[in-house]
Amino acid sequence: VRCLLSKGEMMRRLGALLAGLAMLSLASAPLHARELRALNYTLPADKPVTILLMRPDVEAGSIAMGGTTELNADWTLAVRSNLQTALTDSLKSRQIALKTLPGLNVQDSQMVADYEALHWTVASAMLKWMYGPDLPSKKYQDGKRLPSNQVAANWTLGPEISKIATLSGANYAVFLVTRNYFASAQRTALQIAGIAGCFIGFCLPQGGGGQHIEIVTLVDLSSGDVVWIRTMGGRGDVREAAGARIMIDALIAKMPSRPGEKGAL
Amino acid sequence: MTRSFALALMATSLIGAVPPPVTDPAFLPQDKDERGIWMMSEEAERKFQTSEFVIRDPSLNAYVRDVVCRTVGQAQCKPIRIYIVQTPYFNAYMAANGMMVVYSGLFLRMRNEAQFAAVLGHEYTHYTARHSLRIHREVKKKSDALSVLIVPAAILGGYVGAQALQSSIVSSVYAFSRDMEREADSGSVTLLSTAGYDPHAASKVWEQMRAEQDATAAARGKKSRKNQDDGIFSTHPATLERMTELKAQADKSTGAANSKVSRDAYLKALSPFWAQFVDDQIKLNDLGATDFLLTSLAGEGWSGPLLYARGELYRSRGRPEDLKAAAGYFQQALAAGGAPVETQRGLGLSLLRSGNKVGGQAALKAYLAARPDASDKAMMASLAGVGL
Repeated sequence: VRCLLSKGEMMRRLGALLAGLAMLSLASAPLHARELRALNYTLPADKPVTILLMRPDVEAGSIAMGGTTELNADWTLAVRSNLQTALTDSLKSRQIALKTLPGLNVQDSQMVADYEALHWTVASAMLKWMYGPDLPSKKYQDGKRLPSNQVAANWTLGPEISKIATLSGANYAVFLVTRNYFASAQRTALQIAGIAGCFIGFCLPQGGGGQHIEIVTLVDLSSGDVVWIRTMGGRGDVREAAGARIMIDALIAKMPSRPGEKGAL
Repeated sequence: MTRSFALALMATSLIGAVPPPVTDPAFLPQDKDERGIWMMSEEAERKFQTSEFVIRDPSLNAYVRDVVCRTVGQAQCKPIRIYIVQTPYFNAYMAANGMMVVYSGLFLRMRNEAQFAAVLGHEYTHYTARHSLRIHREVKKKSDALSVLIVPAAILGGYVGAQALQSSIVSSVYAFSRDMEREADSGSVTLLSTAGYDPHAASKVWEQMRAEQDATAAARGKKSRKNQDDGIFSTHPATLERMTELKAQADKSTGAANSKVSRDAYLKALSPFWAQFVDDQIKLNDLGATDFLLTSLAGEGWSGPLLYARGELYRSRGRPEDLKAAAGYFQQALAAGGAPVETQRGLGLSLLRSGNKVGGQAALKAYLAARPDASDKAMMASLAGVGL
């Protein structure tokens, strides 16, 4: 994007977004998986669980030798489709149906877009809190010690999101945000050469490998509460169907389940 | 010397082929790099399609499309999607996929249609010359080269050698960016001239920007940044250089056939949005630049809308003497005619805050009568002392 002026202004706006991602990438060498869940939250045992998959926010590409990231359109399309298939299959084994939104009129797509934007704002705040300093609010709630990684469901997209439940017939929504930038062959070679140099006393480790961030959020569509969010680094090659299944299985392994369900937390 | 020569040679031997310009209106991305860049633009465009910040008003959109088409040609403009974003900054851009974004702050700063067209023509040239792609390739190529050459540079020249190589490669990327800007500037003069607009409009835009930067600085008691040049790390050429160069190019292509500036059509198209754009500008909290902007727009006399804007500006600062001045401007605006309905609101609020309850409430009532569906109706009614 070329701009005529006001580079500073664009930078400020980008800065807000990047601050969140930078915090992630700092903590991501490799990204240490973390999650937050609503206190003692379980999926309902007395009714079917149907999850709406919001349009996955996906980028896939490569990192050139010198560190330039390049979005790859083919990979991005493949990853978006692979993730949907993998999530459908993975949830099916838990008796959970996954849906996508039907074609929408202008007003509804506007509303859905607003919720996509709101989700990212709320999710970014949660990520900053998760990866941020060790606050007392992470450990105590109303003076009581919390189980680790659990908080009261005080992050919410608001109850009006039930409009999306009506549109889709689902009682939960899942949001996926994934960034998968693979190191190019030259970058990997350069990295290996740099490290190999250490053995002959000329150590020059440069750059790094790829950059992989996977984020999933589960929202209860009756209350709007974010009941679970999890982030992790890359697993499997998501450009391939099998790799996408490996990544999705790892990402949602600790998703809230029904009480008494095998592997329930 | 030999060493630095070797380093310079490394840095300058990285010249690549220039992709041909876009000429077909139905142009599609040609390779992997370009498709990646297009997809990023498409994602950005998805957001604009549903953004609450995009002004959807059909008449303003039709006007902007009209100017774009006149500037770049009827066939060429067809596939361009235009998004007018409500934000008071001076900016416009065209993305690789043919999406054009115009900031509302541009409208306040352009004096006539020809100046507006100059900016659109500049952005359009970035698009046809595929500058996004060229910049991307340039950055990639040079950062790749740096990551490899840094080793021999360090061996040849030590720490200093490595730094020298890095600086020369990085600065060459910025020089490349400035060349793209010069190309776009020059393209805009050609487009203006072909469309029948006065080609001097392009250099006028920069002249005004320099003056506005002076005004901001003066009001804030700082030195103006107008001649600020970040040297080898500037993305854009210095304003003075652009202004001078554009003027010289325009002088070459001036004639009777291309002298249109279309001031009236421009002001007419903007008039329904004037109050809103002024509000947005005032919220930048830059009294110096805003007052300058209004004063220079008033070069041909203080119209009702301009007086309204000036009243709002002083009311926003809100010192006792500002409120008095504001009430005066609002009254003059009402007398001059053509001022937006919000003039009564500004007058009412200024008078109320100056202690004139009777006059203030009367003006607010006049505002509510003229704008019965105002979004701030509840608050204004309570200040006016009337029930809803």
